[in-house]
Amino acid sequence: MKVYRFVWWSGGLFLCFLFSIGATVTLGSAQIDMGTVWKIIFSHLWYGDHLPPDIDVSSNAIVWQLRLPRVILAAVVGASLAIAGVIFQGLLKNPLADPYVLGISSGAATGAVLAILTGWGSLWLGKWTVPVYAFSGACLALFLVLRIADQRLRTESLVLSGVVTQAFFGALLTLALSLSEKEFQRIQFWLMGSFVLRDWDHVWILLPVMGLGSLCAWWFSRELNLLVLGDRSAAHLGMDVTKVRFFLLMLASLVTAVAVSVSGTIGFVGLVIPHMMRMLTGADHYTLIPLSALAGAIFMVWGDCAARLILDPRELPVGVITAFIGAPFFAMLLKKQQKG
Amino acid sequence: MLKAQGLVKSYGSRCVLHEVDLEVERGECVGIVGPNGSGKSTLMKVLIGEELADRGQVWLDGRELSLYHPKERAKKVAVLAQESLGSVPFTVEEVVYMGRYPYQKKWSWKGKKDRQIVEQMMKLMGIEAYRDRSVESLSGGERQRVAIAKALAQEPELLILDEPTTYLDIHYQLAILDLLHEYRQKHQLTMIMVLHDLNLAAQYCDRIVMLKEGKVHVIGRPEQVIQTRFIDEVFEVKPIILSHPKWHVPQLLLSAKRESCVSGECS
Repeated sequence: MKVYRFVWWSGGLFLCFLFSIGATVTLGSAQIDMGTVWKIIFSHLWYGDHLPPDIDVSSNAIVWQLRLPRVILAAVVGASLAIAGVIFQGLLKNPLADPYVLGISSGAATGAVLAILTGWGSLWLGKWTVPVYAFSGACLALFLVLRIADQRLRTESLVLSGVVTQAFFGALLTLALSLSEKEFQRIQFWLMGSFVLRDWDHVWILLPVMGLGSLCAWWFSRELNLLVLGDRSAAHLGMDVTKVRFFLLMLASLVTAVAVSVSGTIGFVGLVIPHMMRMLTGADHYTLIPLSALAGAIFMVWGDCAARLILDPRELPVGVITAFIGAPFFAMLLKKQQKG
Repeated sequence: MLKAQGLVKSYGSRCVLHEVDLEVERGECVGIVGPNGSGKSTLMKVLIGEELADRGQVWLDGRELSLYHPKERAKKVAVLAQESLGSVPFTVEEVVYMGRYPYQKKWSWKGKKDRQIVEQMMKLMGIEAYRDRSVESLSGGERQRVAIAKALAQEPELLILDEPTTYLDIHYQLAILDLLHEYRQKHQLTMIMVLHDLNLAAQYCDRIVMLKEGKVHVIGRPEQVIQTRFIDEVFEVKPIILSHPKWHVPQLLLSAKRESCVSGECS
């Protein structure tokens, strides 16, 4: 893609991102206008916690303690899942790969639930207990998917082995949940993907992982491009295919796992977003990675907003919203693949 | 340029290469021919370091091949596989740029030299008109041109081609081999190609290696190799061999066994 087009796209998406954050924070049972929202955000960024006198305490609390962390977290989760999707699709040369479809998210969720229910190792790991367990679960799932699928990683075989993996981890999850009834409701809701009761702590866990992860992925954008050409071609061009592939698979699993550990399994974002951005802006990973991250963030912010508001005052799990959009999209792609 | 000695390679109990020696001079074009399963592709893979031989060694420019860093090797050797470009969503220009990979530092932008070479190669292959089109939308012959432009953008000293014309019609077969031939003479490029078509091999190669069951059956100039005796021994076919009226290299005519077929009554 030409440089000016990239600047145009990334600038546009960034403005859209800022607007989305502002807009979704204003929405909710207590209406707070956009001006006040930005005033509160800026005063926190500039003066720490000293508020200018014209802002009342309750709107400050609603914006800064309740809504903003949730919106930011949604954005970071969206970006993480989109990046994981880009990496999986590039590495497996398969447009239908995505952490959810492949069952990686389920693996991560199983790990996370295990951590929540048992609490093993939380003394050393502290707030990283859940992410670490989730990452182990994700790696296990990844290993299984790649073992079950045939060597050439064709679409059908990959999707099927994703289904098998997902079914297996789904059963494990249900088993774990049935054994501990008192947590059942809370965990069940979280599993379907939700940002309820999330605060800044969760943002601080995920943000560095997402930031480093996307930088790493971006750093490897040229390699990802070559891998799309095929492993042999990449090797002929002087790339160490095995090493790079392993590293990137681990990276994508890590980003997925940490996202899952704060928000549960939210499907299809990693599938829809990279696909749309590829159609709109081209397949070069150098531009695809940052643009997908931005688009994923925007998508998730609005998805979560819808989840909060549609059945107000009750909440929907955000995974329901993304699945409503993503599943038909997936069906369409699958259909197209079979024709092509 | 390239020297291989005593190459042995087996998969399981099946011995695919058996004591193969080969020496290729700079600027030479060597064809590798042989029936299916004679070890052509495996020899190729060993010569470019994609697979390791069980025994024997390969030297590139006097240095052992396995000692090269992959990127250093890719600056000297480019490979064009049978169908090297699948249905990828990149534009033509992006794909040709990928040929510059071995020269690019991790965090560098596209340099001036990269740009020049990409332009030059696209022009040479006659694909600059559709630089912004996606590779998916191109025909097989056009794709192969893109693949060659990418390989040449590596500025290789040695180009290895694995049946570069298999899926192409005769127009593209000739067009592509002519382009490569012209480029080779201008730039002292060394080429090794696996070819199925013996007639094309005889016209474009300086020397031909004929493989049979993983061994070099005969090696030499086209008129030394394309002989009824060797063709019969290796392919078990008895062709008629003529001299090309223009280039004076041997060309073979295949003849069907059933002579009555000539008149179209083959029942």
